[in-house]
Amino acid sequence: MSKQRHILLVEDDSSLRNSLKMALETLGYRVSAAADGKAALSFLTDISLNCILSDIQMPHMTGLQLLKHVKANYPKLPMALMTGFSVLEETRQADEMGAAGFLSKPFVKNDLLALLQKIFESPAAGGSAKAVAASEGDYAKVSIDEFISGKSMKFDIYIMLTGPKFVKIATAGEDLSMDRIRNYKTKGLSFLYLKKEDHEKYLEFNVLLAKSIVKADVSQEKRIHFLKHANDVVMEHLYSTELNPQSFENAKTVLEATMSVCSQQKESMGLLEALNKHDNLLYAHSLGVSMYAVMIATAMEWKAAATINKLAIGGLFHDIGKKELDPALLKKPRNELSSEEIKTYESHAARGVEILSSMPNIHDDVLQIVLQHHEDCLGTGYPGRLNKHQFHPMAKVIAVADAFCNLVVRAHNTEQMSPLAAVKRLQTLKSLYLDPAALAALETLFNSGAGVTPKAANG
Amino acid sequence: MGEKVKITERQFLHDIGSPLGTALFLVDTLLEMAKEKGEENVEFMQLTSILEALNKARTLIEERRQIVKAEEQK
Repeated sequence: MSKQRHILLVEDDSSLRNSLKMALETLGYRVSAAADGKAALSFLTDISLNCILSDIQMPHMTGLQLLKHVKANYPKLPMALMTGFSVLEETRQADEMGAAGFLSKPFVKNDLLALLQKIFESPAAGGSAKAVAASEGDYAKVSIDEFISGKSMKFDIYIMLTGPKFVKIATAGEDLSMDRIRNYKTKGLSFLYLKKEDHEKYLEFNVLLAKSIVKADVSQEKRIHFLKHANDVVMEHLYSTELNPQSFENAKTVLEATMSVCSQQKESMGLLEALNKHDNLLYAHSLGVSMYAVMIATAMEWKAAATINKLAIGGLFHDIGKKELDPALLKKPRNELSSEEIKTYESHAARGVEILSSMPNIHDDVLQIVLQHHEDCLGTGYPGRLNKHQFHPMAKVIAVADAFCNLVVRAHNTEQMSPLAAVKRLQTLKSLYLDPAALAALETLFNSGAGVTPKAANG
Repeated sequence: MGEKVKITERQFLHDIGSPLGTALFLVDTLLEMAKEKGEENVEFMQLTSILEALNKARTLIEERRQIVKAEEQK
């Protein structure tokens, strides 16, 4: 398909024009080249032209002038702009004039490919109904039975044909009706697909999905099923290619067993649902802390199954006290909180203990985890300003997992960080506060598996 | 950042884009060709190092661009 596309490249820098032309031709595109907007005009009557890629600042006729001409005379011909330094006003103007996209120089081949893919897949280019050959690994799949349609969808949805080839059936923001979903099901489709790069949105959507199920009038069995599905998605999100896979699988098994036990008890299931209902990120964060706490403890060669289970439960419910706080307070940056708000925020540890104390079979170690997860080794934490000798060992592990997940699971006010960058950040900024053994154990998870005892999670 | 410095910075960021882009695309194309000879050959390894260096320069420019943009929005 891409081999038949014809691109008009407009660039006044001859070296860049030639190298870009060569790169595009290597990728299988047919390329015509022009040195400026004026020279480009003579190519526009060529009906085989599929797209224009143009610089903005050029002599004789600028990219914006060319765009204006193209939109007036060839409205269906997509045109993208390249710029050495986009001026906000210039970018806004081009956007309003209908530019198909922007590339900031210097860009690389992948940026160029992504832009061309976006242009050629757009409905304007007649690409929306075309099947795209791709690896199944590029897409995340959702069971059609578990799919809930809604306007909250922020991603494109695909179905998979043999090949494998993927066909877009709904674009971001579009409401895919239940009737259409049922129709696909009657045609024998079992799964819908989303692009992997939409994973963050996918994560949020699935937590939203589980949340909406909590509100809906459905059976307990179905609710557990949906919550489990949301967990699977969060766990997939937490996985990193740099992580020791065996270690991750062990922690996943422990967490799944914990979730299974929790979902069978009315009280704990209610708390999980409350956590999920209160704040999407809080739920994902809690699952992350639970999993990473188990992995850290395992890397520290803590082998008792009871200890590992307490950590899993402690991680899951360490922030349960936040369910009583105003979500707006949780979203507010810490440095913008008033002293009264800080006091309220910090009360979540004690509130958590209060909530869990009313539940049957909650071990005292779990309560200590919840109470102490914001203590630190310098004695500056809350609520007790405990020193490192008073700080519960399990709470020390949860504190490391908590700090780590604050960086890798996107929080309200922060950018998501890669696991390795997060470990480095903790070592640089938090090494005096966090337990050194737990922090070192966290680091080993991202090396070649050294220090991880695969069977220890079950031991 | 003074207005004159901003203009100079913007001009620099504009002017550096095309030559660096040229180098990136040329090396990338040469790398694809060298790859066909096998990833163990010296040419491939040297081109990989050049590409890494160019990408580092690109990252530095992108960071500089963000600084200037932030200044413009002040």
